[in-house]
Amino acid sequence: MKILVCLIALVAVAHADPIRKKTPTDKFAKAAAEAFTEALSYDEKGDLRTALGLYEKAQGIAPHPYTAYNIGDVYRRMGKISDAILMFETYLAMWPDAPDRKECEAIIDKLVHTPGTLYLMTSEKSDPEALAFKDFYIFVDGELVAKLGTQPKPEPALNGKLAIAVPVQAGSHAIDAVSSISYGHAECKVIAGGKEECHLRAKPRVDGHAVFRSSDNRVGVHKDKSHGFYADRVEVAPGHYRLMVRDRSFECAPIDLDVPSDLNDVAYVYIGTPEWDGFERCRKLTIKQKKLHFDP
Amino acid sequence: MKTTVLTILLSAGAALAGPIPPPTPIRKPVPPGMTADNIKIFVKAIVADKAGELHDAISKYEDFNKESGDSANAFYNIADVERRMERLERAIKDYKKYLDLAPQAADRKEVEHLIDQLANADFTVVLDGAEPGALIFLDGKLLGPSPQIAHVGPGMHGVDRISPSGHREGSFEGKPGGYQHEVLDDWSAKKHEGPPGNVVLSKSGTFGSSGSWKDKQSGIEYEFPGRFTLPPGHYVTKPWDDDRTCQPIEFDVPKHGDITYVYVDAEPKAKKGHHGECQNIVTRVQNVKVGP
Repeated sequence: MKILVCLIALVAVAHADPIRKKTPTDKFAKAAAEAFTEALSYDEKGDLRTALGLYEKAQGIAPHPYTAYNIGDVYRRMGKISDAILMFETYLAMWPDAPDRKECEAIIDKLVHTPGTLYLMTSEKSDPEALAFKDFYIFVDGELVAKLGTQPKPEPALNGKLAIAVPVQAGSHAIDAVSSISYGHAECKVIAGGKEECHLRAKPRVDGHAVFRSSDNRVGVHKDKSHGFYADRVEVAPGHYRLMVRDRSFECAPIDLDVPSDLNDVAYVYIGTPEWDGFERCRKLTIKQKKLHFDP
Repeated sequence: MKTTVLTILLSAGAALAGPIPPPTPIRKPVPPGMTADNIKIFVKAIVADKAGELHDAISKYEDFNKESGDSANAFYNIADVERRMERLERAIKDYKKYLDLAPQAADRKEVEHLIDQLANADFTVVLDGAEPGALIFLDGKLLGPSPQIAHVGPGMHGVDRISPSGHREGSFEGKPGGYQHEVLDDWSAKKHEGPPGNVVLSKSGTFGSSGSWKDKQSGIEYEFPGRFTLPPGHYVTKPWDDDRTCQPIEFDVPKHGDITYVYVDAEPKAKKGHHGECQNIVTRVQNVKVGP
């Protein structure tokens, strides 16, 4: 919390103006200082909701970096991570030479990397595309998060609804569900520290011995230049393959794939990229492969 | 003397060309005197930029400019995002806009230097194609497996892509700060015609002529540029079997199954007043393996 220094700073804004007459800035600075002082007292008492309203009032009257910082700090304590990040960034954008810049950047970094939670769920059994989770391997961004046999649990955060909770970084995530006879996929977004439901469905029957998944549906495994697989389960005969990969209209390095000879097994391939989708070239790719075993 | 001046100018131009500055972000703060709402738009642009949502960041800076009037700092930050998006022409335009709006900017010299660096950055070319397992050559040098990204200086450049099934050559003109995606799919007419051939004959960007000829001595039909089959042996041929080139093309085709890549580089041909003059050529031969 920025307290005394901030009050001095707010007054200093007013004192920096000519003394001859009261300018409108004085009027606004004074009103902002009053709201700020009142906000501080509520903040100290732990009444964060009222403090927030008063800080925002002060910021609305006469924006000041210290007010922005305190709003960010209240949001942080309220667990509103995205809002806190925005206000700490405001502090730095308004005062780039702040003496505590490094500390503030460290706070932002910590907040940005606060994991969120994805609650993987499916629909009621009345839906023919509802998943029986125990029959599926579940992947998030190409990482296995639930093996065969995993059952969803009642989640208190969802009023007891059944889900598999997965901690993830903020951003968009590619989810895949593969069973011996089906495949479903979804894309779910979560903010830093957020909790989001992520609904999975899969057609009753989707066969094939290879599953290809692109993180943003733009990098495909291709059988020729114009036909690519982006989130597909396809029939591929057992054997070793060197497969063409294309990122939009750009050629990428090929990938090697071993399709298992056991007809109950499935080769799973995930292609992710951390790069912006506007680069006019094949982006840096992360390839993850897994052999999924299913008992006959 | 004019020649000397031209030489000096060309040398100066070549010296200026260089790598694109590293994509480290450099952001300006929110301009002073803004309302809380406008500050929020500016900061949302910074947050979007940091999250890698670059288009969104630019669009928010543009919203900020609409709401608060054109701001030098917003234009600087737009240019900074565009620089990292590898959109150099747009970045230059917006850095210039920054300088127009802030003629007394303390970092004027640095920004002018950056504009100069971007305007004279090496030309970026993305070389790729459709057939897997291909090799890429640039100006007769093997770059490696397809695709390749190359940064080249100004002037004409020749490229080849040799796939297990065919070959495609091309040429492009490198311009400072420019970009090109050179798609080198196999020539479609030749794709399905028998074996793809064990000899690739290609040429530099400065060698203007192309076509085919039948060598009178050996009776061999040469395609230039092209890919064709020749039995192992030593070959000497004059392009078009005439005096257009001062030297013949000479190469060996080995017994093993590699591809013989024959690259012909040439001095730019003299134009007006020099008809009939032959062109000096240099032949470079490499044996390469193509395919998995």
